[in-house]
Amino acid sequence: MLQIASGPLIPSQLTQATLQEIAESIWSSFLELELRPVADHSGFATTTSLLTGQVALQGDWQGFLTLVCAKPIARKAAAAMFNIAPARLDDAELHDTVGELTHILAGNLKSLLPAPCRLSLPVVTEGYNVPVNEKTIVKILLQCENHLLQITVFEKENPV
Amino acid sequence: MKILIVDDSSAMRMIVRRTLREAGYGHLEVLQASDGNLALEVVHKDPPDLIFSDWNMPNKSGLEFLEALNEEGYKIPFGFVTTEATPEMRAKATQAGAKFLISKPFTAETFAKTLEPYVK
Repeated sequence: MLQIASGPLIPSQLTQATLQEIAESIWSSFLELELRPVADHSGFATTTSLLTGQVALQGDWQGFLTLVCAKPIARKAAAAMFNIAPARLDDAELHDTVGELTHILAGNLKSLLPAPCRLSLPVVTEGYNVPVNEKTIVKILLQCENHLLQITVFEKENPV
Repeated sequence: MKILIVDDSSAMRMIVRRTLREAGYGHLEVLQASDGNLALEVVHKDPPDLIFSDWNMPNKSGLEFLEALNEEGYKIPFGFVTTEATPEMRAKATQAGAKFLISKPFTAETFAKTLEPYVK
């Protein structure tokens, strides 16, 4: 069982279960893919061929949501979104898909955060590129067709 | 009948098109744009009968696009399809004249029910 970390400015609804429910709803309705929770995060950051999507949440509460996923599952998701064969997808389409999924996750999370809250546009990079100096509020690791994806919510340590 | 889909994500424009088909609106002619500025150009050139727009986009947001249409006197039914659907955003959308706001993730049933009054 994973431990739930919570910060003082996050509403009580922001738990691993809530984040997982949001992710499952998006993956199921848009991609028709099933997600399963995985308890052991060790070694995930060193997985090869990862993509990281990041969205900043700005307002009374400030932080980030990141989605890190293995490229094979990004490709699978993109194939479902674009409705074309995985082999025909290019990197731009993979980045677009991961960016949009990150943004939808953050948009659904936004409704649980104190208002006002604004979302940045998503930024997608190659590799494992999560904020290193911010406080982790909630982190989940999920499995989708034998590939892993990690969703993390960070609280900004020094809000502007 | 023409529908304009505005979203900076081409993946999401594909999802919206697919969901329109699943909702029984596969007969609609679809126009596309990737931000509010380009969408405005499409409207000037070939005005659609209905607009589906994302909210959060580079260059010109969905709300700015709707406000620009209002300023230019267009009366095209306009709805947001967006990741963000807080009460504040719904209020802003309504105030600007949006007919509906569909939050992501959505279903074909939501599209069918929401679009019924606007699609011939």
